[in-house]
Amino acid sequence: MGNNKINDKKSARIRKVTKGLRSSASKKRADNTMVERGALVYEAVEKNKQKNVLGLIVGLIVVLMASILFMGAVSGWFNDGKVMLDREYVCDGECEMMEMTADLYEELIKKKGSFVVFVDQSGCTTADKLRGFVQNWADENKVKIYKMMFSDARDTSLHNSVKYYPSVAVISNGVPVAWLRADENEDSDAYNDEGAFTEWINRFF
Amino acid sequence: MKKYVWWISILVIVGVIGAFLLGRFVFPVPAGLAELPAPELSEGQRGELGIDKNINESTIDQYLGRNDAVYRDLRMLKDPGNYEAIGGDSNLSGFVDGFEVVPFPYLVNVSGLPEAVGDTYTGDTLFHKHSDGTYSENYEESMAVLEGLFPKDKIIFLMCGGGGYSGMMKQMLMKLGWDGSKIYDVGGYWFYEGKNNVNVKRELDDGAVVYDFWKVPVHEIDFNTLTEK
Repeated sequence: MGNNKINDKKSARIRKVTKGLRSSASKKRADNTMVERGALVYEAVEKNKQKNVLGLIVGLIVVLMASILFMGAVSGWFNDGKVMLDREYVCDGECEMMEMTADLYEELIKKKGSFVVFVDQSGCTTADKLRGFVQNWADENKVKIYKMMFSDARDTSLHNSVKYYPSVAVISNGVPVAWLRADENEDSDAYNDEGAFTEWINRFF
Repeated sequence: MKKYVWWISILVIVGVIGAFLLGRFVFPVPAGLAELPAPELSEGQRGELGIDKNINESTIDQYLGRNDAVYRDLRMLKDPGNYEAIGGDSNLSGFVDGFEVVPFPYLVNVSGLPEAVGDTYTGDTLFHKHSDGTYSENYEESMAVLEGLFPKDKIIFLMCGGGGYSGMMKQMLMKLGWDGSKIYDVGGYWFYEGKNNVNVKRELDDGAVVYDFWKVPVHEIDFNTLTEK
């Protein structure tokens, strides 16, 4: 009798414990499931987040590229590097060179103009040959070009590029894109031969 | 003993400084015969004009004031050509201190100017350049005058507006027997950005422009005193 009581008590305790264990196990299982589910949800959310970020980046790149393409089309970037002279520089009859002062040059640069300027200096015979080439080219192509004294050019931003005269500078959208260099062997032919000069300048138009 | 060492040290230092100052300012050594780089042509168009690669507008300041050299600016004070017709300025508006003007058109006939400018100086010249590149004297004294202006025993630095006249001058001197290794075509005043610029052109308050030609050392040639050949 006594042993049965103990056994009952023992069994009850075991039952209690195992029940507890079962509860915690099932609770644990439940918890684990919750954790697993949570992890899955978390993973899904993270994946979505990554997708969103990626999508955002791709979208930005597309917009940026579209803007660049649009700007390029508008500003003429994609025209094989050719310069588009402003319409006002087309001439009908004789295309005499127009005087350019330092102030006028800077004004046209500010307005992002596209034009050609011959850098000369009076009282010096060094520019004679090139002056002739430039005038002939202007007449043949019906283009009005500017003429600026080197003594004026020295006081403009053009002097950052053109260090010596005589020279011819091609300005595109307010930026000097090409100029003849009197101190470089590479440009010597253009100074001495009209065909070489024409070949040089025609590259830009 | 230490006191004496201090005093001696101070005296030595003072002595060295004093000697330096005396040598630099009281007894200056005459401009030396520092070795000049041999004449060498620039690249490109500038080289074709004869402008020197090493001694030019950018570096001439280092070679000014030599007592073994002469410095000649070959421009005219006022060029008779109508440069205003092509938007230019016929007048000499500035020069490098140390250079003396010897107008090239007084030395030899000049040709090939723009039509709009017309003729430059077409008066008397010491020499005449022929189409075959040779030179002949117009006066008995032509060579003597030239040697006086461009001494053969001196280093000769030549300059003009853009390097054209100075290049032609060097060619002429070499053709007439000068040693080319002692002649430097320094290039053009218009490219000079050094510290020895002398302004001749000046703008007044009312906007008028004047030229202080009195500042310019000029070698005039009085052809009336020469004997025609």
